[in-house]
Amino acid sequence: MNIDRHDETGSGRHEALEQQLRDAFRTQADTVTPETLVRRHRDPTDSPSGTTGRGMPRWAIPAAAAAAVLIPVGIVAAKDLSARPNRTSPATTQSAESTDRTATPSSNQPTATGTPTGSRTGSPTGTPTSVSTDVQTNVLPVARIGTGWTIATLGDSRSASTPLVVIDPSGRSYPLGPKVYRVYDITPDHTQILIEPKEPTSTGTSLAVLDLASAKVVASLPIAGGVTTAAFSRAHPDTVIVWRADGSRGPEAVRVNLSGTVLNAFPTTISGAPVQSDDGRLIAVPGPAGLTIYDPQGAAVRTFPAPAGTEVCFPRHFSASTGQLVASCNPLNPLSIPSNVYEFPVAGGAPTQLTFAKPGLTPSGYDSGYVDAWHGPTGLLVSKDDGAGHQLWYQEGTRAPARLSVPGVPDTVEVLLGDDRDNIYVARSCPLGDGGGGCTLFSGPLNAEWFTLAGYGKDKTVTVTSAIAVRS
Amino acid sequence: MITMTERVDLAAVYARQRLPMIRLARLLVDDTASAEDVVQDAFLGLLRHRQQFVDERSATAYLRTSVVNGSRSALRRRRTVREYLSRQREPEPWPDTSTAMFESAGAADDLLAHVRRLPPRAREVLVLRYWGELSMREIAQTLRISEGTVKSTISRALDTLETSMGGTR
Repeated sequence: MNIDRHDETGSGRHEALEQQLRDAFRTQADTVTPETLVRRHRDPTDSPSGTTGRGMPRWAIPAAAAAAVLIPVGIVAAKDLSARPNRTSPATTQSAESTDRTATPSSNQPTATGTPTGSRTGSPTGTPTSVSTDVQTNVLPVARIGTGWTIATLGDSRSASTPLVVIDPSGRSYPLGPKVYRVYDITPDHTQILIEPKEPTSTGTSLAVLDLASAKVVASLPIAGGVTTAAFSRAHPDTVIVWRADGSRGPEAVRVNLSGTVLNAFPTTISGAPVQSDDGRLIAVPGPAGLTIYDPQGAAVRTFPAPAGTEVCFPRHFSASTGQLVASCNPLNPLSIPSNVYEFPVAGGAPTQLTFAKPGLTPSGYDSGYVDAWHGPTGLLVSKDDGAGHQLWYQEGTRAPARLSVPGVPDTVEVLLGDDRDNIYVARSCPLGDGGGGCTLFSGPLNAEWFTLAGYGKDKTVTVTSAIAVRS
Repeated sequence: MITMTERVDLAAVYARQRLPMIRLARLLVDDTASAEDVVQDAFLGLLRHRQQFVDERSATAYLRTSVVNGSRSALRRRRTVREYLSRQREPEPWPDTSTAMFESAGAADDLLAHVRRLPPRAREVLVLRYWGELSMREIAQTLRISEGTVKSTISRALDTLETSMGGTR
């Protein structure tokens, strides 16, 4: 970083001393090298203070191997899952409709192999069934894309670009054009998707709008810096809200047109991805001491101070059932007091605290608190981030939350994608080499059917590197 | 529709930031083992709160603050232990004495020994400024203090160092 060495501290009065400090610090710091760290861990006695120097973090390996995979989870407490009746899934329809795009397999289609069975397990406790990502001559029924469909990039997460596929609710997948880096969003009419075609470079990246019917790029949006997340503006679908990290200016949320020109920004001084309401009229970002809601043009509509005892808030989503803004809030040092989830009335007023994590140690370590919450039929589905992934809990009334178990899924799940009134969509890590199926599940809470959307087959290394869940 | 938010690649952050963070902690706590402990805790904190980080820049800023705070706590614990031991028996030399702390000899040793005697915050701003090459704003954000306090702290620390160094020359 280039800084003015004569600024602000005495106009070079201590220039020689400053240089000596630089040299001395550098010399001292450079005594720590990867080699000395390795040597120290081979010889535990090589610790001048007698402390342990624990070295490799416990989380490093799973985090390194993690690749997000989509799992929608029903809003049902674990105790209720086994009691749910089975429901037969509708038969998979392959016939092309009049507006369907005829897709023939080509060399740039997914390379995974398997049988497109589209099977679904009726029993909520059954082992999720692996579904093929291979497509022989599937025809994408564009007109039928809606709730329950998923668009994902599938492949080896070590590859920068992976095949883009559309997956119907039965698990049948349809290849869509060339490999891409990420998929971010789909238009409200389900005709176009927002993708990042290639891995970002040091100078920036570009987003593209891909037409589903023709499988052709219809707009390209150069973006300075890297894109963290992006979405079509719900209020103005011909514009895109981008959360970008520009090295020279830091992360910022902006709205751009389909040429990539910045139309307006959503200013914030704290990092945190923006979320927009269903109608796109409200965009929430973290504020300097709470939350700020903007309109699509970047005018502040409302600001909320952080609730008492907290200092920063991070918007999570606009609740599909209440329309209110759900956010988690915590002190600047989140270790002192765990984060809790609040619901902020978009019309203004005091927030309602939804979760009540308390500070202090739990048998499993620090309770870092709750990070998100969704209203379910009889209670509140809440999530914790315990360091190894999300834990899902179900909170009914004033009773203490009960842990939610997802059949076939280990204790924790990964990224929570959101809700669509009926479903909670989550993703979990699926480390490469995990083996076996069940990396991706799909279900609705009301029928409690569990379904493998994509996963590892016997000789497959298919995983989901990015995904969007479509809803009407 | 629901969009999965892209998240910070913690493994990449770990790969890139572990060594610099250990070096930063080493400059603040004086021995590598303690520095590793501090950094380990910082990464665990990062992991616990990873939902809050949307890019590597914010994650790195969090790490930097955690390392500085953790180093300060480590020094405080060490001082407490030292005071306790001094009541029990003749204190043993602590490994972070100037001889154990600084491997290289000469003027740099002398300067760093004087830096060690500065108040913790002064030492932190000097390390962040002249080793970390952070701007005043970044230091202020890291230490949760105002830019004005950063400037005045650096200025006073440099004055103190020049005075004390002059006294030893």
